[in-house]
Formats: sequence, structure tokens, C-alpha cells
Amino acid sequence: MAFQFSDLSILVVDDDPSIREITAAVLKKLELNRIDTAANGKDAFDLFVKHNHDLVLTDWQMKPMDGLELIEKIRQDKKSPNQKAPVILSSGYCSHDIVDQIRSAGVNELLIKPYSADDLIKRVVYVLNRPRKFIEITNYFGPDRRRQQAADYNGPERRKEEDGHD
Amino acid sequence: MTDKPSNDIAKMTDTDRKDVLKRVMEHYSLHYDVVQRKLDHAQEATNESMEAANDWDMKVISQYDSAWKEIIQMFQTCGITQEELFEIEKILDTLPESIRVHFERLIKLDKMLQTMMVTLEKLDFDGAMNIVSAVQQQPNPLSGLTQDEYEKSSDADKKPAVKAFKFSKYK
Repeated sequence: MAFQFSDLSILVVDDDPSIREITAAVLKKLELNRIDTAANGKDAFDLFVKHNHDLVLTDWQMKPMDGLELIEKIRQDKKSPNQKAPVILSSGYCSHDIVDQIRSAGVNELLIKPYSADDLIKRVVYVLNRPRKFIEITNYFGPDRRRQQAADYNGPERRKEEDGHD
Repeated sequence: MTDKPSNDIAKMTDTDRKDVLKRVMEHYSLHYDVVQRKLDHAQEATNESMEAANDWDMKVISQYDSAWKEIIQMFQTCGITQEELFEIEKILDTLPESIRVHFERLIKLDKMLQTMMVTLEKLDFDGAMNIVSAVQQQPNPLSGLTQDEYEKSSDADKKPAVKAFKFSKYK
């Protein structure tokens, strides 16, 4: 299937200029409305504030501001034009500790490197076509981290009942 | 870098991963340009073949003419996956003789296209894609979803935000 992206704007963030350029070149062929690139989280956030992109694709490890700090700014900074903007983080690392950090940062999707152009296209389509509900609790603001509901799920009040509370 | 079996994927360095990523993305970008250029030649070859066509040939040639117009329009308005680029090349590989002779002549005359095709071959797409496939076949560590589940979930949407066009009618 060919996909129509003509209304879409994307911000690509990577400190490696060759990755940044080739990713932008691939996205350009998808006939997007707007593609911006930045070499770090700080520059990316400035661009995001200015253009309010529909989607952010960011690398993790960058200086002076990394990908997770960028997501924190997008989700929590008062200047952020859309705190619920979908963010895809690309990373080559996927240990349990790292995945926990990524999940807690409010990332929508993780794309493991290396990926193909088709993997990128399909993940963009997935994120845009299946927007996740956002939740706000004491230490977290971001997309709902639960992807599946267990067959024996008894509702949000189940723990009160199990513990004998009202 | 050469092909790596899937059990070596975890040992890949950041540089290895970037190298493979760059190679497959560069391949897509160049492959896209090559197919776009071939399509232009296919359209021109189809027009040339119309001049000497009889009634029966004309019916077949007209179908190809409509197909090129529609596919070229897709290139101008849509995002086309690499899977689809290979599908379009399959259509180009099965052209009827009346179009093929003109198409092959135009391809041979296009020196820029010849250079692009040689560069494309040198990128060792298959080797890089073996690594990418081994990485992407693993369930996503954040979502737990497999590649198939991601695709099925996207297809299952009744009203997608991103509109889709099917190439299957040309298969």
C-alpha cells in the first residue's frame, strides 16, 4: 500500500549528520508537507515550539540535550505547543533498564536500529493511525503504557476490592 | 560489514547499527529514483509503441498507459514503500514485446540511469536487509508487538488518518 502523507509534518532529530540527512531524504520521497531536522534536543525543541510538528522522530544519545530530555520538554514545558505530540525514539539499545527509562519518559514508540525505510514508514503510519490515550498521574504524563488488557482484568477499582478497602 | 546471524545482533556496536541503517536507507532513496526514472521510460516506450500497434495491441498498450499514469501520480502524491518499488519493477519486467523493445532502448540510452543502477548493486542491500530483518523480527521491547502485529494493527483501522492506495490491482 502507498500512503498519503501530504498533510504531515515531521521533526527528525539525530546528532549524526549522515543519518539525519538520509532520513530526511527518505521522508522527502514520501511527499510530506514539512520536514525539519535538528542535531540535538535543544535545537529540536526550539523548532517544535515554532512549527508544532505532527510527529517527532528522535535519536536518544545527543548533546547538549538528549532524546529523553527532549520528550520531557515536549510533554511538560509550558512553551510546548502540543504536549501529546507522538514521539518515536530510535535506539540501538534495548536492555530492560533502558526500556523502562524510555517507557517512563512518555515515548509513543521505540524503533530499534537498524531499521529499513519500510519499517520507518509503517511505524509512522501505526503511530498516526492508532493514537494512544494519554494519562496524567503524579510521576508520569504520556501515552498509556498498557498495550493489552488481561483477560481477567476486573476494572480500575480491583485493588480496592482485593485489599478489602471501600 | 558482512552478514551477521541473528545471535550476533546483540553484539553489534552502535557504529555497525548506523552503518546498516545508512546502507538500507540509501538503497531505498536510490531505488526510488531508479524506479521513477524507469517509469518515465516505460511511459515513453508505451507512447512509441502505439504508433505501430494494431487494434489488439492497442487495447493492451492502453492498459499499460493508464497504469503508468496512475503509478506516476502515486509517486507525486504518496509515500511508496520499498516493497512497492519491487512490485513496480515486476510489472516492468513483464512488459509485452511491443513495449519492451522501446523500453530497453531507452534504458540503454540513459547513462545516468546506468550509473545509478550500478551504484544500487554495490550497496549490498540483501546483506544489510538480512541484519535489519533479524533485528525487526524480534518483538518490540517497548510494545511487545511483532512486525506482523504492527502491520495487522495498522490495516485493521477502518478510518486511517493516513490514506492508503493498493498496488495489488496491477499485479
